[in-house]
Amino acid sequence: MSGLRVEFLNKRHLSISGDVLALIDPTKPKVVRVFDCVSGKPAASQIEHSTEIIEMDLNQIEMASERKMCFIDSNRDMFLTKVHKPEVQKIQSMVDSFMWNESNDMLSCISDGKHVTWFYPNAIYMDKDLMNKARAVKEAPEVGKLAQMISFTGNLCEVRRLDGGLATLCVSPYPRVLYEHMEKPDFEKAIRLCRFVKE
Amino acid sequence: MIVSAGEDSKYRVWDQFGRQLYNSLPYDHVITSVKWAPNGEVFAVGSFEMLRLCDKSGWSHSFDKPQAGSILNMSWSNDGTILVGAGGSGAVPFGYIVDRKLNWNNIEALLDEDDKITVIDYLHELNEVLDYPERVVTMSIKFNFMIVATTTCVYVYNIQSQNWQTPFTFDVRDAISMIVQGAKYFAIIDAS
Repeated sequence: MSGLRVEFLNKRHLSISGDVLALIDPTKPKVVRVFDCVSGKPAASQIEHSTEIIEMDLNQIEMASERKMCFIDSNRDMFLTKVHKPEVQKIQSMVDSFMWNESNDMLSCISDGKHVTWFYPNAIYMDKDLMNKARAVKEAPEVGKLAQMISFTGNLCEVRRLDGGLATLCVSPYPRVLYEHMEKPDFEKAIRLCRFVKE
Repeated sequence: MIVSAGEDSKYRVWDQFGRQLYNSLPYDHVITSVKWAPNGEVFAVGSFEMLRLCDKSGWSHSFDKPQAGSILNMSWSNDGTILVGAGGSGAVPFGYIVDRKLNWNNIEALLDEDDKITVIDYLHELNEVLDYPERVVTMSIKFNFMIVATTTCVYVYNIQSQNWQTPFTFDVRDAISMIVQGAKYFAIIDAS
């Protein structure tokens, strides 16, 4: 790809997943270009937005049909879309930074002094209310303004505060364990876990 | 992003719309130079016998007191690993970025010197020292793999197999400015 200026690129402009590579177009920051990982050719779809996109990331799960992209625009609104069938949905405003989980489909963000985590973001394509139900909102006054999330592994989020200090936030461990059971797949244990949590 | 400094002994970081993102404490002497690293992740601040390395959001990683008078100008190598300053006394201080630390799950990787990485596995209580023929430009650790880029070569380590002695390697022509890892693939971006 030509016209790529390294000095204008950072880790939040480029993302790579199991099937596609996505990049905020450096000449047109309202567009995210998508490339196929195996052939290196541009994919059939690209994501266009009405305002400038400043941060973008792909989820890391195996299934290409559930490949999703999350991005923040210059108004600090956060959007979610499918990569292969673009359908942009706004999910949060005043977002400082966000991160996909390293091994499953959870999405976490810092927004207006709160730590918000979606356990199953796919739900937005079925029922928006369902998506809000599968969400945890926690007050996080300790992270302050403009904190940057640097990692989200397991059920721990590491956040770099504006003054350089590191803060670790945690989310409920149950969704992670449930994801691990689903992967194996071990539905018996998964159901048992759900019943246990319900009690 | 813009970084500015001046007679008030402070340095400030601004965004592209002119909003101030960071305002430092006033230091003892006038700040005489500031310079972004080529990858835009850090910048250097020079003053009278003070050399400071700061993160792009403003807070400082480290500082040093070179005996070189006021550092009037600075320049980074194009891979962002070496910094050189022009001292007011005629001395030329050089600096390497060391002590970079990355951690992932139970693994911690520390760049001790410009060509030496110590890997500590806290779960298995293993300590491994990796030496490189050239200086390390950038490193990344995620998704069970550690990727280290030196000036001419890229080394890929599988963390799960505990195999620190025989990494997969391949050569590169230009200095690597960035590594982006995914679960299955990774992308490297060079400075050309």
